[in-house]
Amino acid sequence: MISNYLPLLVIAVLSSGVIMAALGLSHRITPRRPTPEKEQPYECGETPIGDTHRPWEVQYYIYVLIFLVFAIEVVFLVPWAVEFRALGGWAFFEMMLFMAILLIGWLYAWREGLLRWLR
Amino acid sequence: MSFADVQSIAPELIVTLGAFVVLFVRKHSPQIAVIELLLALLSLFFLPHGEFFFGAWEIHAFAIFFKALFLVVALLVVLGSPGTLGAEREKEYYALVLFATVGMLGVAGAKELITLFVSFELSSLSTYALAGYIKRDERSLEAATKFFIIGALSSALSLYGISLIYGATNTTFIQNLVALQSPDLEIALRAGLVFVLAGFGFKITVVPFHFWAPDVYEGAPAPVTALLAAGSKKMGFLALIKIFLVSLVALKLDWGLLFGVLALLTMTVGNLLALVQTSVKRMLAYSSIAHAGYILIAFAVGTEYGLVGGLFHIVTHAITTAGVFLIVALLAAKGLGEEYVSYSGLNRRQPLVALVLLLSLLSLAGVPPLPGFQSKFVLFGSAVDAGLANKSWLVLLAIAGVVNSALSLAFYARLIKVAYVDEPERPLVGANPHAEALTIPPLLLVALLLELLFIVVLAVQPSLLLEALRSAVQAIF
Repeated sequence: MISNYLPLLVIAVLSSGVIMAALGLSHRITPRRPTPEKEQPYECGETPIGDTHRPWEVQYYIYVLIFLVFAIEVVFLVPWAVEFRALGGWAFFEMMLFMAILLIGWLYAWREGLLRWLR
Repeated sequence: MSFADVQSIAPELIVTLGAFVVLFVRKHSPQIAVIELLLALLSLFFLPHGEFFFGAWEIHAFAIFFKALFLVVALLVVLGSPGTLGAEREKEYYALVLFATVGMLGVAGAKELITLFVSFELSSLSTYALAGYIKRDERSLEAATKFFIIGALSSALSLYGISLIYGATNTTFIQNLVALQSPDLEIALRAGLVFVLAGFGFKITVVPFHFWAPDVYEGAPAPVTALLAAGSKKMGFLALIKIFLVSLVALKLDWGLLFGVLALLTMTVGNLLALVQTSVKRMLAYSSIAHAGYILIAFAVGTEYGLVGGLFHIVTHAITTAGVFLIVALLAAKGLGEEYVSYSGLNRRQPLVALVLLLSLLSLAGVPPLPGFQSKFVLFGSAVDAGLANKSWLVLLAIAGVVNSALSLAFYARLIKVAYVDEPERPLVGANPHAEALTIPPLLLVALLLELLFIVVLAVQPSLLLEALRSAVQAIF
């Protein structure tokens, strides 16, 4: 039973070996002639302004969090809708309850003023 | 799903609803939370018994017992928080405490690994946020970060274990865990159980996985620490009981010796390190590790009697340690500090607080006739009982437990001496040195009186609780 997994082990060793070999080889044989310009971070060809390690506006992440509420909702809504007939009335009630709970989270964010840009 | 299914999650629904109300009403958050928790406690009496949600959820005496324990702990924490928390915004705090409680209640009802894991995570995620609730306090943020990283690691471990168990048995229903797909998959099942033990071991601070606890307990706001030590940790034990006592008995695996070694290590390391602490919060954190060691004896014994002892000790430790942490919260909030010296002259500052502290600490040390002594008596007694029957090393484990209890008296007694004998380091307010210098917030007063009531009632009449424990254990054995 355990021996059935031998090919998996072989693949794991081989694939990581190939990657390591490729990276190591390119590191070894690539000529390196660094100039200050080459060392700069890539910002679509523009000259970078300031440090890359700067604090990001926290609002982005709040928007992503609120978006996640709806993303998760859809993940559950689609299979429910496909099997709607077979599942019956209680499933409808449960899905409404589920959506209501998620909506409460969204309403809370709204009420706390998190949807206003740049407070 | 039927109406009985909805009925069977009534306490969870009530507490969740309470959390929503707290989030949307801007005032009276602690009062609303207290009312919701009391309603949930009341609903426990009307729960239908049996299996629900296609066998993923169960209600019996054992589940109800743990639900009641978690609700009482949450109640104590909520009562102890106003005036001691020191945060700018408070309603999210109470909502998070309620969400953490819902997770704990879910673990008590789960009969299936995914339900158990999701409930466990709901509770854990809420407590990560709670540990870092005081945003201005760097220690609090450090505690939250550490707690989150360790928590993520432990969740990953237990989830990986659950996946191995599922691979070996093709089921996530706990009672079917013994149905192996084929005999040579037993190794996968065993490995899965080891991973689950390690994952939950972090939560209950078993010794190789205990190192995060003192830092987190010290950095988190003290009422949150009360929830961690009295609530979260007991939830870990509950999950272990659910998975291990059932599966190990059914698999005829004897892991008693493993649990015995873990218990011995945990209580000895906890007590020895508690001896050398100067911060009361850290001392209590190590003492709470040591108590996890005592409770693990129940797993080593593995009999019905042993489990009654384990549950008894879970209750007495949860309630008394919550009380002590609330007192720590009060002193810290009043600017007295968290070191031993901060407690000097506590009896003259505020005799009631000193009395609750005295009784709780003596109970933790196991001084007769306090509840902590009685639970240790049942626990160690069960080990001796099983030791005399067949496994003689269990007698040694019981002796180690007694020696450890004697050792623990050293640091508990030191704090009592500071509180009762030492001259106060700072002058007491007012001309009259016996005047009240430490005002207790009204809700905290209720919590302290509840503590006192619990300790006195159990000291006088332990059979009240023991009967409930026996029927709880019989429901799963």
